[in-house]
Amino acid sequence: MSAMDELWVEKHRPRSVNEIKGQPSIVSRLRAYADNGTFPHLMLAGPPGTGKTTAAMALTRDIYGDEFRNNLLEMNASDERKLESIRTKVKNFARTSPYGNAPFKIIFLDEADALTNDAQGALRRIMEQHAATCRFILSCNYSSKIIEPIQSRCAVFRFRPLANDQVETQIKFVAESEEVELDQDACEAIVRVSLGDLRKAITALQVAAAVNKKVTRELVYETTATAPPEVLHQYLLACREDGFHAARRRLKEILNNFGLAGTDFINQLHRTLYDVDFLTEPAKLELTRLMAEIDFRLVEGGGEQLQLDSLTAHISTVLKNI
Amino acid sequence: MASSKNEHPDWTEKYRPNIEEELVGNKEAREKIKKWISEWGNGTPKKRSLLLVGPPGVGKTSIARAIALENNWNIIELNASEERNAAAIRKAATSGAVNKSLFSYEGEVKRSIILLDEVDHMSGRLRKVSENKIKNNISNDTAPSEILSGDTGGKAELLNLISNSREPIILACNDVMRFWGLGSGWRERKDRFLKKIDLVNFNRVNNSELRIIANKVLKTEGYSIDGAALERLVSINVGDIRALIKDLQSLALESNGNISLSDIDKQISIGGRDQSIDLFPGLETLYKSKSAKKSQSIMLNLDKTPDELIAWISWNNARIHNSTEVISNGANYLAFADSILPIMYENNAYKSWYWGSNISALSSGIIGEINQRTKIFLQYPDFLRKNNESWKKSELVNKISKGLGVNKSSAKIEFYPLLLAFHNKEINEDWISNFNISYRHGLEFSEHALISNLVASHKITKKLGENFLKRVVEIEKKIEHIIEDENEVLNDIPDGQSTLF
Repeated sequence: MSAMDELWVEKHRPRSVNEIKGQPSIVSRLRAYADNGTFPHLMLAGPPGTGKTTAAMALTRDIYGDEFRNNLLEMNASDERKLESIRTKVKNFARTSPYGNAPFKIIFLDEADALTNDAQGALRRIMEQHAATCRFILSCNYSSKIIEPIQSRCAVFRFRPLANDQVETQIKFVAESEEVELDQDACEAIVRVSLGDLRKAITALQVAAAVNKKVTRELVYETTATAPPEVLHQYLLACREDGFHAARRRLKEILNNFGLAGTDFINQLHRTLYDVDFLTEPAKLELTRLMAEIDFRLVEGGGEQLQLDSLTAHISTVLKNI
Repeated sequence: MASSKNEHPDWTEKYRPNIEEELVGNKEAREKIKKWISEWGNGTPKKRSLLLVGPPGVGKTSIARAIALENNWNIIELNASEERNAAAIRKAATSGAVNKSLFSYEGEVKRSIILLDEVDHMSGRLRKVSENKIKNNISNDTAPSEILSGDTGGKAELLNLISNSREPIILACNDVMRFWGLGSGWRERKDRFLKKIDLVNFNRVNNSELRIIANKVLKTEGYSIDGAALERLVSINVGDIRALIKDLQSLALESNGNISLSDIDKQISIGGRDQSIDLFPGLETLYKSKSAKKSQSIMLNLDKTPDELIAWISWNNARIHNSTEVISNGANYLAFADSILPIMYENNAYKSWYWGSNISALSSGIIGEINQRTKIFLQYPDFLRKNNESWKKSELVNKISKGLGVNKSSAKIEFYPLLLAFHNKEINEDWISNFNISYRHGLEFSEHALISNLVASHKITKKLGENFLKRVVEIEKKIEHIIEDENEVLNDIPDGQSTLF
């Protein structure tokens, strides 16, 4: 039995570039950087949970070893997005010489797309003037929010959402090393609830394993408070075949069985919506709009019963007309 | 480039040209700069400053530095990583004069080039700060409340500098519209600057020039590259020398001496840069996608914010779909998506980005039949370009509504037609010389021209414009005196409001 006193996300986070799984072409480039002990300014772009921070930290650790914190300035740009922070904090760190024998320092700017335009303007020349003693790693969700001159100064890496089989491999690896029994169905369920976010997937595994070392599909859906796709399909079918009352009853069952709030239900329903065969594509668009609207009313404080009834009634009408 | 002696670890710095001759591309622009530099040999030229405008990585900063090195002049650089308020600029400019007396040999005058890079990132507008405040800030003998922060008064001092400098001044920027400043009054600011500076436009460097540079760099570093690989590499770095060299260094580091086509393809799969000239790749596949599922997965890989998606798709829907019904259907969905986006600022719990991206992505291809085999021609959304007629009119209406203290819709419905009537030559005899209303409401000449129904290309329009500007400058001068007298109070007034009254 392995102990349950540690977060698996932390425990299994790669410490070195060599340990990173997934994003293979990015990793091989990073490995070359680590082997040579040097790299240009980097811009890492991509959705959350795809390994940007992990990659940046692993590279830093590979270059400096365990004492990496001495030569690293980590800044979350969405907390300090102003021009002044760049002109003072970043600039001061960049222009002092590296600690120990290190060839250069590293500034890691997380969420750099939150920097104001003027702050980015100030950043570009610092990047150039101090390139000899300081390297920048910028991470962002949307690269188009980073001004062109900065991109021109960086090697750009685009992190894609992890493919399902990549998440699967990782999950299986963690399960094995933690001695968790995980069948294929359960593994697929974890992949589905995690939406390509590895961090989410590993946490889901740990939560399920905390309840029972033998992780099953049902357990995964139960512990993550997620309705399995076939249950959601049945709701849509009920809307089409059995009419409003039956569909409303089914919806109530789902909420109770899986402990869902109205907005959770809508978000989960939308994730399966595009896979439903008996819907036309334009109908999927119409239902998306409808769900967006109901979701909005719910978070603005609309009554859950009333709003979900409205959802069911509208879906039934749309489905009858196609 | 063989003359590069430095061993800078970053190739883009290592291969920055030291003499003007080594620069590549933009020959016309470079000739213009050289001619202007040579004029400084015989006194002060008519325009004491040049503004170099162009996309990143085409050599704007490099040429200024190369000229200084070549002529053995000092170079004083002030870029956006430093504060550029009125005092900082004054200090930099006067340090040119100080250097002259310190370092030049007897009888020889050593020039300084003053290089202000990234001027489009200077914040603020043309408001001045008082002479005393500048002097106090330079002497470091400043009361804490007096200290100039950020770029306060920087642009006004810049204007002062380029009017009086004895040294050549080079300004550089990417986005000249940003330099004039957004919002009201940019045309006047533009005119006032253009009286003092010459504009030099830089274009993206062409492909054969990029190939020459790539080959030179690789040869010096002892690497080789396959022909097809170079071709591909040049095509993904449209006209950007710095980005090209950056990529070369990355590729070389990983290669075993030769860079092949498959290396480049790998590079592309890892990540390309955003360039404002492209239609973004993927938009066409989005239009050709037949299922919601596929559209969503393309959208997730597009790396575009929902508001960008909405702009692009709504503009292109009207070009690609033929049926009015389909277009209107799409427009309805996009309008909905557009309306929910701002909600994220009020209610963080609502996933407006999620819904907005999904709805807009699905409103492109699957809302109507699209022939899979024909090539789709996509276009840059026109309304994303600044400066069109409707933009102008809405600014104008804003000004009238502020000036009169009425809401925008009455300004538009009641007063706008009245203004048109005042400036209609059939109704009002002295329409042509009557600037009063325009001054009172802080209109720019182009706005005055709009309500007077003047055609921009006509001679009379130009003439009137000059008169108009002359009066504006006179009025501003008067105001500046007032401001200097009571600057403590007035300095807090936001930009723009103090320009005319």
